[in-house]
Amino acid sequence: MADFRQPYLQRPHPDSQLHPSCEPNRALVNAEREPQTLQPRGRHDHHRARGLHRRLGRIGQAVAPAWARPSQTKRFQGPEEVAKTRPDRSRFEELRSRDADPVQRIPNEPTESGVRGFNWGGSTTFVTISTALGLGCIQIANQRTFQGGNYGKNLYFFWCGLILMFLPIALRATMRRTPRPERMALILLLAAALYFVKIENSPYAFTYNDEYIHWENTQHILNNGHIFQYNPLLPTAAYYPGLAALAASLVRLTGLSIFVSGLIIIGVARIIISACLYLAAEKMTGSSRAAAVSSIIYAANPMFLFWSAQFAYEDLGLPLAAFTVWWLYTTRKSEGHAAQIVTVLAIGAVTVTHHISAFALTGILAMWFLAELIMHKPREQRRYVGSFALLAGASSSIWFFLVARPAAAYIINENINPALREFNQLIYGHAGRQLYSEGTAPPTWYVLVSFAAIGVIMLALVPALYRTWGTLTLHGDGSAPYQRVPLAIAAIIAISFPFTLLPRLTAVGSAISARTSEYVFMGLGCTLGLLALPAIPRLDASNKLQRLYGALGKLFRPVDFVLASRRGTLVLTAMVTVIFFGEIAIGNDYSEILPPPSSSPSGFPWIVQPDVISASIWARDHLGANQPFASDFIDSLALATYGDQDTESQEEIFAVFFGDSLAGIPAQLIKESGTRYILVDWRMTQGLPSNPGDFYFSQWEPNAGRYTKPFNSGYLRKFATYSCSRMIYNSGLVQIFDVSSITNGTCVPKLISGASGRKASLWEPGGCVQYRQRLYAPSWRR
Amino acid sequence: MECVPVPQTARILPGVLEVFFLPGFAVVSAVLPARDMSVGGHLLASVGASVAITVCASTLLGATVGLAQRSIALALGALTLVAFFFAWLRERQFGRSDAVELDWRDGAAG
Repeated sequence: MADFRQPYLQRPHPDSQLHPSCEPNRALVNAEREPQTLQPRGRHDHHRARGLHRRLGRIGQAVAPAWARPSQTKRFQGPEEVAKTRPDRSRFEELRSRDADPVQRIPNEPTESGVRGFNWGGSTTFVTISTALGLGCIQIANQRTFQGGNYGKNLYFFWCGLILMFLPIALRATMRRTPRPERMALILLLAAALYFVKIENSPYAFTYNDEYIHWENTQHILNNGHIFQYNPLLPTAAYYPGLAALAASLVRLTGLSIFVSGLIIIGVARIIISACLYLAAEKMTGSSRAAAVSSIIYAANPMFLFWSAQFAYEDLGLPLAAFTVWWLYTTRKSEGHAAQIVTVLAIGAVTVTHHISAFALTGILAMWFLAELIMHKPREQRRYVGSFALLAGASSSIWFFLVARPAAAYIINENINPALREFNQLIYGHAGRQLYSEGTAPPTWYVLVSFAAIGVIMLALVPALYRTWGTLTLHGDGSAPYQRVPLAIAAIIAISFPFTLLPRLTAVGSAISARTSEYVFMGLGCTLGLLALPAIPRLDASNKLQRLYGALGKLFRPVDFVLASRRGTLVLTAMVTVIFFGEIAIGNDYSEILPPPSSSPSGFPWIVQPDVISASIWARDHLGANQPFASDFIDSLALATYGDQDTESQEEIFAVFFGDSLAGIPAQLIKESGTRYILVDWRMTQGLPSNPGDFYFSQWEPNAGRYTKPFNSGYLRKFATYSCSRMIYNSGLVQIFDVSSITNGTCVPKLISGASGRKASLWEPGGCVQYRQRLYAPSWRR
Repeated sequence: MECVPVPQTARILPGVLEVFFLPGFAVVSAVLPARDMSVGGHLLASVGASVAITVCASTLLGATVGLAQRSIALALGALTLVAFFFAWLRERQFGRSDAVELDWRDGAAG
């Protein structure tokens, strides 16, 4: 019974294409068996090395990695000669051999015979063409919707495009005989292609809410050269300047715009996180196929398609955190401590870039350290992890509490507390959020596919956890269980998946739940990736746990049967496809997948509209920069960035917009906040809010998250029917009022006599301006 | 000192390399023996380390002397040169002993 382990440990498959770091003694093993395998594979490789060497020049020769050096140093040396010429690395070699990765225990996958890289003539070309066609379909869908075409029909084009992109990549990446380099290339292609979907969605400018915040940060750094400038859109963001400083550096060095620089930065960050996750998963599972499944499942998280592709600090912080973990995982067995300089730099970069990513990094490192401690990993092999967990925890906490002081209020008071309060109410029987109730009601299939995705994940999680248990408990191959610590951490994170769905039942918590998925899907992917491995044979039971494992194994025999051979590839492809499309449906409102029409969008738009941009630019040109403005949440983004105005915090000013009267509390708030101008967007009275949290101004406003009808028009009409409020800009649906006379205390607002009878005319485009012109016209003209 | 005007298009490639590749490549070459990482791993490490280095350097400049074209170019350029120097020193010290590690089969990616 124990024979099944022997081949995996002792006889690596000659065609194995695993990473050399996964097989630490590979070179020596090969040298003993097949000396010729250490030689370059052919004349082409030899010339490639010499050519690259010449191009690198003298410095390049000195610092070039081994693969880029010419062949004069490549004379084959036998094992004895190797031992003589190598510096004293015996301690590390010993550590490596003792701490061999679980990869050696898992059978190597067969690969396409004779194909070690890419199958250029077949699958690679097909996948590339299919991806290009998919992007074309999505571009058509975007363009037609932008021009006012039928949203529902165009959405079918969008889904067709996604299927054309996703399905061939998923199928090819999960095939058993796909070469490893091709698998990795497919994962990177998927990440890049999905990023292009977002770029096609907003190709000319930033359009997502968070992008305006960091655009504003970058502009401040470019204008002043210094970080920590006040950001009216999100004060916390100014204290996490990593992304904005990086963008400002790129703008300064290349001369590109902030928009293009932002696209490049987030594109690079996306490649980093995809590659790091793939390589880490490959090292954890010992299989490029399992790593491919893991990476595809991560790409299926509901935020990956649009949210994680925006110019926002989390989308740089998380890749940097993933890079930190991968780098530490890869280099902690290296000689000396020099390699850990990069770890320190990476932790520093995460700390100044994003708060949650920094805390998540701390959590993962702490879990890693504790798990190795609990599983009795020898002290000398527990290098660095505990120290770096401490460093990450200390740096992120110090920055969070001492430098980024508004961050605590933002995270705790504005995000966690409201979610907890709503969740508490839900537990005590209050009605929670009705799923899919916001914005346009989605079709039934849209809801069904999202529930199907959750169902598939929950179903697949059970056998995947069972396999994790198997890899953790069955270690009769001589390796210790602590070698599978990363898999145990991934499993713990994966188990939390069902619990992270619960906040979705509340209005505020849905956003938190969605954003949690970016972190949870890392563990979920690695755990579900184990389904791509051959079933782990059941051992002779030597203790109670193993007997229980064996007994449960009978239940999972059908799963092992389904996942075996070619049908396993099809099942895995179907699984990741359902998860991918279902999670897109979960993470994106049905009405917000395609961009709104360029002219006269129906309802309250969820992105900044061109007429608001025009109003903001007018305000900057005619009123000057940094004027205190009050407006709704969406329009404040344009005012702060295009208009360079100081928008008031919606939490403090929202009450100005509520109520029929401008006298009393609204006037008092205007005076206290120093607001001089108010931008009114009449589209609020035509549609429901559809931003996360479902509010017009702030999550604290009455009816936030519970709107069933548009904003009361009477509330906006007061700015025209009360004195002390003077309209200075009108473009039909967007108006700007000057309320500085209330601010400086020279005027007390009163209802203008006869104004109530003229309310209806305000609805007509231009009607308001005519009305105001009449009211403010010189007396001799009345 | 007068700056020599350079066309914007000519600045793009050097600027992108300076931010996303060169500092990381130099530092990774200096701190990690080449035998410990393959081609794909080295590229990924170079890009990731470059991003981390540029974030730290630009944040530090923004908090102190100010983030301007000259300051960030000098900071990243100097750091890259210093790291290349250490890589060269390291290579002189240990370079020959790495000869046996060359294995083209494993150098494809990862």
